[in-house]
Amino acid sequence: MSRYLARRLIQMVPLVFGISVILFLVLVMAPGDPTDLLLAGNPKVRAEDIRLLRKIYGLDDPLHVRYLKWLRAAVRGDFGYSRIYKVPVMDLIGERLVNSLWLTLPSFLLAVAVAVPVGIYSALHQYSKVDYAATFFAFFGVSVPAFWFGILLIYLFAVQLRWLPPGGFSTPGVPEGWPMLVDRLRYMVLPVLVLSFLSMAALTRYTRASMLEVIRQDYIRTARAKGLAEPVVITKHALRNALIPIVTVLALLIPGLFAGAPLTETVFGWPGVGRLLVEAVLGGDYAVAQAALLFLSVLVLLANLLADVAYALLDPRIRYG
Amino acid sequence: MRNRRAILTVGMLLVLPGLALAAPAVGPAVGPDTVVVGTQQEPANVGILFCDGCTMFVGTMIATPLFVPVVELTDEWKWQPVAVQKLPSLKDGDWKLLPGGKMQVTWKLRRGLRWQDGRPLTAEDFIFAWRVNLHPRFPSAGRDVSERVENIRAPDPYTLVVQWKKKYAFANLTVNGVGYLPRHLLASAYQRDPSKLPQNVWGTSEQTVGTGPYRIVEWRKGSSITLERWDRFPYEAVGGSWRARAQIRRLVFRFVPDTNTQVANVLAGTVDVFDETAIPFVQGLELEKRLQREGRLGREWALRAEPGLVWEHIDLNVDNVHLRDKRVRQALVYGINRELMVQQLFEGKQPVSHGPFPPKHYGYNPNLKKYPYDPARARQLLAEAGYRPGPDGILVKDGQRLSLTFMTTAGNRTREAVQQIVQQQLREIGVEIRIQNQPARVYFGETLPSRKFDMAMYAWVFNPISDCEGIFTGDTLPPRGQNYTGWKNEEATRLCHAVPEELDEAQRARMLRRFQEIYAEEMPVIPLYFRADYVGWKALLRNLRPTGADSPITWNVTNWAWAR
Repeated sequence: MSRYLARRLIQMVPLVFGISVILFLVLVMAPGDPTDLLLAGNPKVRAEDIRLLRKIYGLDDPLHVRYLKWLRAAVRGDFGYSRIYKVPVMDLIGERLVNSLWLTLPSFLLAVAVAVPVGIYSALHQYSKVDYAATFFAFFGVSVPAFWFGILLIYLFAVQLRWLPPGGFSTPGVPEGWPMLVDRLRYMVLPVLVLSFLSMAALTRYTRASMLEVIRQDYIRTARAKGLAEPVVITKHALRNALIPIVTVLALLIPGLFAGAPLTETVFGWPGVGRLLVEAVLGGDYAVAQAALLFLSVLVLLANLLADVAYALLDPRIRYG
Repeated sequence: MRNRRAILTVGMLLVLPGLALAAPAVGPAVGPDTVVVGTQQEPANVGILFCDGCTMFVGTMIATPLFVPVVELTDEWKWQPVAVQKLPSLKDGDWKLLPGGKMQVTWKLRRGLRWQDGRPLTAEDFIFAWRVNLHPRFPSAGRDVSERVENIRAPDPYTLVVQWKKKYAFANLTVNGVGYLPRHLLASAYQRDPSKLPQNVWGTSEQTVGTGPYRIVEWRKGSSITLERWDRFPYEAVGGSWRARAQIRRLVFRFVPDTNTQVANVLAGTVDVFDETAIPFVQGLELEKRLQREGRLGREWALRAEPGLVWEHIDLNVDNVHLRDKRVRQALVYGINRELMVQQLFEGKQPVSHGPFPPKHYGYNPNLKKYPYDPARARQLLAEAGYRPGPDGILVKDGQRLSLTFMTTAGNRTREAVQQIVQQQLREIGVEIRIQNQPARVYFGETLPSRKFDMAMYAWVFNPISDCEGIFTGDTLPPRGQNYTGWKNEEATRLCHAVPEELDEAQRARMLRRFQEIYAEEMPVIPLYFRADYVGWKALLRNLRPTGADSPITWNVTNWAWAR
């Protein structure tokens, strides 16, 4: 197992390098550059100003020179400065990542806590009222756009009922500690509901399908024929096998936690990493976009590895050597 | 069943904490000593000079309470001295013309102004800022005024003697084209690397030391900036509207990128003020109607849409085979019903423009040739120019169909609506319009500078002293300037270059009026309308006076107060 892990990790190095080259090219070759937007509508900016700016930022160097400059610094852990926010890229991403986790982690846990039991219940009581209701909500959740659902909730709970703040991250000036946490929770309610509802839907369907497949297996019938009590059959025999594919799905969802949620974050004005990434790409903040995307790529690779390892641990038939 | 109950319980637990803390809608969002301002984008830096590619507008709004301005523009478009004792004038002799077209302007700083760390604000800070702005390795977005200055001397810490290389009409409104920076805090960083100055903690964090009546106490990146009243501010030492003692203890600027969410904030009363950038005009119009319907307009919220200096227009590429002919350009303007357009789309709140300058501008020409909607006249002009209807109804000349591409920034719903109206109306006079839109970066970065368009719609952001240099001068086609139409008219070029150097305002206004006559006859740019962005504030908040110019809503922030 450890040899297998080592091999997989070594294989990742050229892969990450390749990804970084592709990312760099895609970002840099997109038309227009950050200095262009300075021209938009400002009659007093002159070509000379733009030329000097391009020189300062090294935008006129040949592509390979720019890439190697970036790579040399990146290997040392220096990902440069954000051109929009004027702070080191790593500080910015770190801070935004923490903000995103405030949103994604509770959503994830809430989604799992609701979806897995509901999925299992639906499978065991197929075609019952609860199953129909769960299926309806699941399809609703899969179908509604995040921004529409978000605005609907804002309208209901913030504008009409005035229970919760209509977006934002914290009330400025709230003292640190306990009051700040309570304040943060109020801001979290709506975006967490939106996010978890969206992933809840898919997870419910997945759990239900996986469970349905398992309870139709011969060994379940055998277990029941042996006279085992139904709860034992379900938990000991069915559930353990049904959970294998679900765990894999959950492992693959982990990078998503770190990618933030661009749409939900934008609607709720939540300063997370997803929104940062979108703004960085649109605003030509290359350093930020490059670092964030690379970081996410590495996470996806690691999550895949984690899923494979989890599979092996859960299913004795699978052995890596 | 148990599961369903579980879901309900979880849901209730999540909603309950909110029950206790409902926000009042009419009163202040936070409390009677705080004003919360909603705006769209976060500035990168609140040191105004460090604004490369950042949102200048928001930066200025937040910087104004932090830094005493040298002069201020009131809502009546009057210039008043604030950090200086007076505006220099030729009459008083502190603005002198020297031989060879040079000038010397003397400024007296008011005594008693301090940086918030206790250091006095002196002439050195102005000289330092000017040097920084001209350094080739400093990422400046505007050197044009600073470059006109030859050198600056400080005979004593409160006197500045500015030598200008050539005449400049507005040398009494700016000391050096940039203002001032804290030399004692930034000099060593500047020596190390001027290109890194915008990344300094000064300007990007709570460590920004200002000179104004407010100081930064909290900056939560991506969320909000909080300013607090600085009680050692020397009110007796300043001029203009700044003599009034600040009544609001805290100013909070909240960044809400999504405009629908911003509207929800206004309806829920969680912001007290929103600025020009917060809510796009069309959504502002809907918001106004809604507040009106619910009887909340005037009682709870005051909304203003003040037509300003943002000029929406269509550049015509005069190198195009059809648009070369002046009569075709005129016909296009006669063929578009602009009055109906602004009525239908904006209920008339964004007025039709007849040229680059609004009626409030000192150089506005009221007798300018106007182009009412007149399709018959348009057809006649096109016939005179030699166009005949082709088999599909589109006009033809020398075998070339009169078909033009019409571009603008993609995803802007208002502009897309304008495009469709223009396309439909010009079809009726036999002109085919092909719409082709692009993302802003491509459009402003490549298409306009390389002049690859027939018709291009966008906006110029002017200010009360704007002129026509750079846009309408025949020797400033890209890359030398921003004359994207390629229009070259000798007299207009001469006039537009001369305006910034003409010191007599009456004469300057005459020159601009003459320029507008030439413009209206030649029609290189179709004038559409002046934008009027919505600004709003709680009705209980007193003394907010939007200027409709480029000065921010916070220009008179020390006068703001909640009604008792």
